Amino acid sequence: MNSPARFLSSPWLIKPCRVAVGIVFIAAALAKIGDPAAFATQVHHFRLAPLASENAIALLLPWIELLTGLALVLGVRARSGAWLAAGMMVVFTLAVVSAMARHLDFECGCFGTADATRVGLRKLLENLVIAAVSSIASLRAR
Amino acid sequence: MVIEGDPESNEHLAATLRGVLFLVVAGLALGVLHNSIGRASRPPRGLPWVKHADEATSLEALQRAEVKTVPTNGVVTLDSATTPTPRIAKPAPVAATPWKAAAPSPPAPAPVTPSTSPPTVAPASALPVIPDVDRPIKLELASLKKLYDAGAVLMVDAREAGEYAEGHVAGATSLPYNDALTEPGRIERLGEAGRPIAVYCSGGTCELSMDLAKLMIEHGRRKVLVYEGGYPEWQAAGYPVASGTQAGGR
Repeated sequence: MNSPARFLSSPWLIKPCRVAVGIVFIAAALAKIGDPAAFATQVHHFRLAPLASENAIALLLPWIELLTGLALVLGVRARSGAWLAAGMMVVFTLAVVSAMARHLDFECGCFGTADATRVGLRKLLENLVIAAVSSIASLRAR
Repeated sequence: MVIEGDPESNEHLAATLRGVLFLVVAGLALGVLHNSIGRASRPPRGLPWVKHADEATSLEALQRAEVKTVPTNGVVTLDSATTPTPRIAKPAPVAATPWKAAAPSPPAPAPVTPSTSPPTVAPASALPVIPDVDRPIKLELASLKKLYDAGAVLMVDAREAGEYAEGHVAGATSLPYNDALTEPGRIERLGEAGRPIAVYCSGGTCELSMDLAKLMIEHGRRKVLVYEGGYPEWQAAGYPVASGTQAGGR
């Protein structure tokens, strides 16, 4: 195994990445679970999902995020959690890109009402960083 | 990473995918359980599972269902109190400005940039009266045109500024929904001078007008109308339109 691959699959890198992503997901989930109505409004602002499904997304997605975060932090099914986190980050990033392409300007709602960051370049960069860290976290430690 | 022919890796991949499935299913179950408990509690919390489009009050439906005519002069009006339940039947003053005669509103803040010319006076009996309710009221083209012709409504375009510049209802003020979210002060500066506000967007499935109407109501506005036919229907009817960044004359 060459040295970059050896470095990326090192437990010393993967475990901190998993814990960091896990904490982000837990924080995001708790903020959304605390105010599902506000999160449903923020889902609506993206104008991507059918109207009828917006409440269901707002009610269910945060719980998947929470379990994902707990799996990563506690190290139980951690690699599965990392895969799920990376997958969700891809979806979230595409949603942000789509909103930017349509010149929509609203609060992301990525951390419920606790985060006033608007959809835009900064949010896109944040998502890309979390997606990259999630990808590292999803590697199999050697 | 799958290594072809490596049973250990394939088994590891399968275990990981099973873990993903477990997390998703468990998350869904917890979400269902949490919301179901919330909705069963007293007072109920949580949200309905299926979000329905807002069943906003329709001005025309209110008039058809609940308005009574007055035999003496044929004036049809609605109760202008905080309930849409109609009661009717008082002759409207003929010479009064329609929006004042029909349903007095609290004085609006002084407009910063009045966007329309002073409204003209039309016979009050010809105009629908707008209930002073805290939710959007849908209206159709015919009713809107009556209000528009009388200068008894402030038209607000909820689309993006670029779409507004390409073409808009003549005299309409541009207030894109996203801008109103960012800068709610623009709602305060609309300058409707006590008139009802009619919000429109692109018709069809466009939700910007309803979203903006709700935002206006959250910021204390009342008598907010939503014209769902939108600019395409208005334009197709051959009614006055303008282009550019200015409201344009009626």
